Amino acid sequence: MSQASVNKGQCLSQIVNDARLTRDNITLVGKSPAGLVGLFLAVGVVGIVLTLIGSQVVGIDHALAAYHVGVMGVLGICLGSLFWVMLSHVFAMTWNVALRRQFENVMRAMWLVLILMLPIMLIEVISHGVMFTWMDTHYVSSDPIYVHKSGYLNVPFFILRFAVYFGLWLLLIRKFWTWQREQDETGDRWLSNKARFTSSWGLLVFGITCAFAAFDWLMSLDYHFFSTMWGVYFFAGAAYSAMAVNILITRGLNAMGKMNGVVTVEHRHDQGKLLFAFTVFWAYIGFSQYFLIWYANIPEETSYMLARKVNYPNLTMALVLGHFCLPFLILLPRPVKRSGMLITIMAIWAVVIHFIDMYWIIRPMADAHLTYKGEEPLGMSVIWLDIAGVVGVVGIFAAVVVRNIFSGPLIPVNDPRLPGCLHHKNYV
Amino acid sequence: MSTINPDQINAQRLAGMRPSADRTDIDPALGDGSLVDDPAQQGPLVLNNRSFHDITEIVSGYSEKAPSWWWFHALGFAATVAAIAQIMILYLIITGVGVWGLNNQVDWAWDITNFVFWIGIGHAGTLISAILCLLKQQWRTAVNRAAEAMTIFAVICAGIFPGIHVGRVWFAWMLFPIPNSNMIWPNFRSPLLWDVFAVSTYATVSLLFWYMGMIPDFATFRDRAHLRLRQGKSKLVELRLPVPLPIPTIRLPWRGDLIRAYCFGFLSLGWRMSGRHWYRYEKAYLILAGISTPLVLSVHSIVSFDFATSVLPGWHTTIFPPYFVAGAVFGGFAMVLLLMIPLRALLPNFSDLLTLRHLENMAKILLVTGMMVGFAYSMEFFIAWYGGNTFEWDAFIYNRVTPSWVSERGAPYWWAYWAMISCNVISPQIFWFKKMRRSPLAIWIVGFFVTIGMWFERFVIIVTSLHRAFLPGEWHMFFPTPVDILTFVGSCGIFLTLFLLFIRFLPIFPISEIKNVLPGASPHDYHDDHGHDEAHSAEGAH
Amino acid sequence: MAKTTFETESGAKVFGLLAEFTNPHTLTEGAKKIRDAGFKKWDTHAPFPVHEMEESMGIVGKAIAPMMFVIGCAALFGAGGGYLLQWAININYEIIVQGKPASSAWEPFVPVTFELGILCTAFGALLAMLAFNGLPRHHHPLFSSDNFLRATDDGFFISIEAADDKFDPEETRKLLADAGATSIELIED
Repeated sequence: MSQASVNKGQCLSQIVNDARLTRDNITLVGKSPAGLVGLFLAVGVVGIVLTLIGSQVVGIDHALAAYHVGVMGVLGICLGSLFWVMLSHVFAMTWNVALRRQFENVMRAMWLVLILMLPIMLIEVISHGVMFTWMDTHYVSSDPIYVHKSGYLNVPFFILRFAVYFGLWLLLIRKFWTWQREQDETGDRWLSNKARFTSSWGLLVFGITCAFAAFDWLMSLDYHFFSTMWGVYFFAGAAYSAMAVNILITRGLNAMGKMNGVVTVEHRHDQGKLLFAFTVFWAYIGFSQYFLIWYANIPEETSYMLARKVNYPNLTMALVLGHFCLPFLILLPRPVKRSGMLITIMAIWAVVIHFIDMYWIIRPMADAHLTYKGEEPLGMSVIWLDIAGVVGVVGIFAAVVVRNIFSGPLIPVNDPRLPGCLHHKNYV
Repeated sequence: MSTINPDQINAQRLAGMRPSADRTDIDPALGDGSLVDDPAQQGPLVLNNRSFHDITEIVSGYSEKAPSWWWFHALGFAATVAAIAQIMILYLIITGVGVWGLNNQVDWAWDITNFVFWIGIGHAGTLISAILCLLKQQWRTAVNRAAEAMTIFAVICAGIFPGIHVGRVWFAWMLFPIPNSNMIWPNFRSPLLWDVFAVSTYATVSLLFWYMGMIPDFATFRDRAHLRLRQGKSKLVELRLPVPLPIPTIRLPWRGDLIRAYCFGFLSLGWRMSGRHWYRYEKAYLILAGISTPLVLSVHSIVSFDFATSVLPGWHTTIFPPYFVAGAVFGGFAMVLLLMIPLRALLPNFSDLLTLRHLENMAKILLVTGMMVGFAYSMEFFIAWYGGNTFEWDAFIYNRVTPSWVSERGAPYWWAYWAMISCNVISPQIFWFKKMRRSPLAIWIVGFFVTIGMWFERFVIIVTSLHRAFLPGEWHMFFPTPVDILTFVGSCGIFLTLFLLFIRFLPIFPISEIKNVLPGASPHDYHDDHGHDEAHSAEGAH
Repeated sequence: MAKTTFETESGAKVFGLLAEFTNPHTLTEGAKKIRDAGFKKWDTHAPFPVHEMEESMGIVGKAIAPMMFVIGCAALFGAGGGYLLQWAININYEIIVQGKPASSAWEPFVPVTFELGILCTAFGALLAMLAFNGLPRHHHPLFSSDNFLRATDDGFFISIEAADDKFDPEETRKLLADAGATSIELIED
């Protein structure tokens, strides 16, 4: 027990005397978010307006697909942040305490994702399936594969699940955020234990809802296709992009002269390691899924891969190179992970490639629907619309996240593990 | 707006010196002192304020002192069981694979079940040493060496089964791309060939990793033996009988320490604890840890490819690779606990190094990985229905779940499926209770069930999928013969024999790594006499 | 400049000085002093890798860069060789499975390429580490000191070789004493 009591004394002296924990360094007091929020909001509104124009000029399929890519991308970032928050709690991680608040700021934007999802749900349900062809009962009722699945893929159950997923996610987020704010104010260290216990079952809930949400909103776009790995694939991309966004936020705050000595090169190094780890994990999951489908060659699975590999060969290759090969080679050396500049570039790239990944999943379905309707598939010829849909969603999302960041201290100031985090160092 | 700078009172709360409003005391049931519920504090990794020298003494003692009675008895028993396996293998090679219960339909059964079972056991060792090393989980030091040893022994046991199941073992060289006069080359598109490369790479890399970790500890053993020789403290080798019979003790004309000095001197490669060497050593060790992590994922993924690349219902599912890996880690951790908990009671001072905190952490890992396999079971099930493939659905609902006495379509192997579910998914759930995950006995019992459950998982995947494939005309039951059973039991004997020899002769704890997590190991632990502006805490790297 | 060699009174060649320190902290502080004094052929010895010792010794990066390069080459050799092996065999001895293209399909070659890459990296890491450390080595003059054998137990040492240009029996001994050594002994070669 002696070691524990030694730490008590050290902890006390460090916290009270630490020059790094000044109001100026760990809050954004006196700075107004208005400029940044306005900028992002403007970008977002322009994107949304362009998407709306596109829906009239090019077609509702394309506009909705582009918007869907954006929403699924930010959903992944939000869910990934929730995952990282729960993971830090459940492992009682010390090193990333100072980073956790930024994950929380991202995850708190989940309500926005819910609102952004609503138009998709409304349009799909009202028009009996634009992207979700299985909603078109007239078309699918003669399809025995659909009839078999209709117990799961039907509109009322689909809406119910939508409500359940968001209900559970928002509940978890609310719990964690309430406790965090309370700890900020009262310094009650036992709240960390509460968060830890909630995270343990929260991760279970997260795992299941995340997988089924991915089945519902991504896999069921092609309702013939199925893959047990799908939930894990979506999760891998989500955790990856959430880490990248966290790197971007902390780098941005460092650039504003905040969190000096609180988030250091050592934390950046570990963020880089995790970004690297999830590059590899995504590749592992992605390759395994592709490879097993390729090898076994069962029609209902293979046609899914074929539609992407043959119709979008450049996009597929971009994913292989950009989501794995390049980041793998670039992030491998230690100096890259410790370099502020390079890790920022790689984080931006990771967010971009995450959206390309969503695009690769969603976009070919719009073509499939056009082909089904007897129209010429557009491929990637109206790229401006694809970009507009994503930028619109991302702009609004970024505005909300920025507002969250400005709303309080930049680190959990009263977290009991903060002293350990301030002295974090990578020895090897 | 909240308080920004923690004031004096908050700082005291944080430091655990002032109770928070809603909670006035710490949970009194803190076991051996390694468990700390207070989030502001971290329990010690080694109990009883052990010094660097104490660690050397404790760990070297296991190897230097004469073993206790139980070790001889256990070794005798294990070696006898191992001999059974040798006899069975010899019988199989002489007679042919017909001595097993395989038939035309179920052409893989216990052999491949045992192979996957053992290779999975090994994965916990690599996970503990590599992944926990990368995650800076310092508590791994208590179990990593033993777990790495287990990896090697488990891979040895695993390697036996695919080796002998080919029937004509003297053609096993055809597995390797060796230039030969027939101009026959292996088929690199077959998952079975990938297995050859994956398992042999895994065995080799695990051995290198294990050995590299032991080099400094070998040097410790070497220097202790040298010192005793130089100081004239060593004795001649005595061959004592483990049983009290009136036979005089035989004295050999060599000093035991001379043998130790030679052997460990050879193995330690002249290691002299040099700062320059340590620098390269730590880097190289980290690289080994870094490559072992994807390796361990790849090995069990490739094992899962054996099944998942086929189109057999129950085998072809894309989640197999991560699901197999999670299952392997799950089963491996269970085996670590199964072996370490008894040792904790049997070996002196062992519980200072392997504390309740370590056991609790491992119990939590069992719970997590147990739920991961549970997640995979349910995904398989859901997709079997969602995929709309009748054969797939039947393979799950009738061949596995439905007992034959409930429905006439139910398959006779329902008990295997339910044994798997209850052992793997249900039994670890007791670890939701703090009391249970802090009780060595409860952990041991769950570890035992999980080991059984993981064997059944592989049996379920392999045999229930094979015994009823597409055409009812090819449906066959599988019945193990005594040779099947005795070979498996014997492989447990081989594993146990090797493990007992390991705990007798080699450093079972990583001496230098444990010293590195002791308080006082970091130069920043000393605050008294200098002008450091930052005061570092001993737990900085968590 | 001809290198000075030192001899003891009995005529044995001097290997260098061995100084003992009490704990990792004094060792680190001592190492910084020796580093700043400009010595090249010297070393620290501790029962475990002391954190940041490479900084205190001033060898960051220098000591490991060539080793990392060799390990990287080993990895490339393994993975490249592995792929080439399968590709060459596949060209020579074509086995068509499931009607999949014989030459254009790279997918089935991934597992073995990966495994061989890992295998060579592992051997590269261990062997390069040993080679750059000058190991295995049968004997070292330091082992003649009974006290030094405690480096594998709980002893902390700094050794300075007589072969270093800056070495001087008296001055260096004084430097070590100033650096905080508790005992200093002369090691014969």
